[in-house]
Amino acid sequence: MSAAESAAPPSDDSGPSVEELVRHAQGGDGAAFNQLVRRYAGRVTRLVARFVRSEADLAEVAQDVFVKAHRGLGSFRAESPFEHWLLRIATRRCHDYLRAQYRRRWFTSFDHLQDQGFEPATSAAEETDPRLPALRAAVRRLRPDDRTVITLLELEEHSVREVAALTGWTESKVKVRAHRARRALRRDLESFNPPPL
Amino acid sequence: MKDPDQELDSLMARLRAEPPPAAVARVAQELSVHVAARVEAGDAGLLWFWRWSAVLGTATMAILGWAGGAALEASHQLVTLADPAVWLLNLSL
Repeated sequence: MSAAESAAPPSDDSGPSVEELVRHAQGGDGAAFNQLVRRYAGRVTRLVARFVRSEADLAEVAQDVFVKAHRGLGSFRAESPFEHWLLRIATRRCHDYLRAQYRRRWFTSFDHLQDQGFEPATSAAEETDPRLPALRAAVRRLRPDDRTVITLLELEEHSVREVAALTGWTESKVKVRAHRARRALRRDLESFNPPPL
Repeated sequence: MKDPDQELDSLMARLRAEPPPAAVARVAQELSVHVAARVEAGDAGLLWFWRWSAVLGTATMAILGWAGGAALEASHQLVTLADPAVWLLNLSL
């Protein structure tokens, strides 16, 4: 697992194990499922925040992930850890979100998206390098597949193999998408001219 | 001149190190309540669907049964009326 994940353990770790909670939740125990939601809320919300453009979208997509997980609990066979299974659902939901946004791009300009104010909690004083907002905007402009791959690889620090497992794509597709995304980002950065100080 | 790949890597590392938006903590805090409400509403919706499916199904079967019976009765009467033997009997009476 990536450094990002090991550095950020799920919250609410006390009490029964994840396996026990999953078993109870599969048996229809709502309280056990609720405890699973609380345990993984932070992890899933942080991942979703890499993809969405507003707080309202963040809440909706994060909820969707857990509602889908609740519906699909019966199909979870514990062959892989519950967290991987949940992150797979989250990744695919985020990809669907990006595709929907991309289809609507003709009706919603990127300038408008940037005005949403859904940015990291970095103060203006910390934001000394004007290339950082430019890079954020460039990542937002990527095609959905490219953005999904580059976010998981570079920002979430997953390996190519893990990204393939999360997205359900082949490793070669992940590599091709990563290469295209990096090329597009390099091009955007090269054409970026910072305003004079 | 810095290598563009290295430059991209160093900027990506800075993006990675950024703290998440403040909204993340807020949304994560309230997530379990909203998910529980949606799961409950989904279950209630499913129950509502099955109940009404059963009611509508039963009503449809009853209507079809009644219509089928009425059609059978009508066709039986037509056959009876069209039977020459019945006509002759009626005339003779």
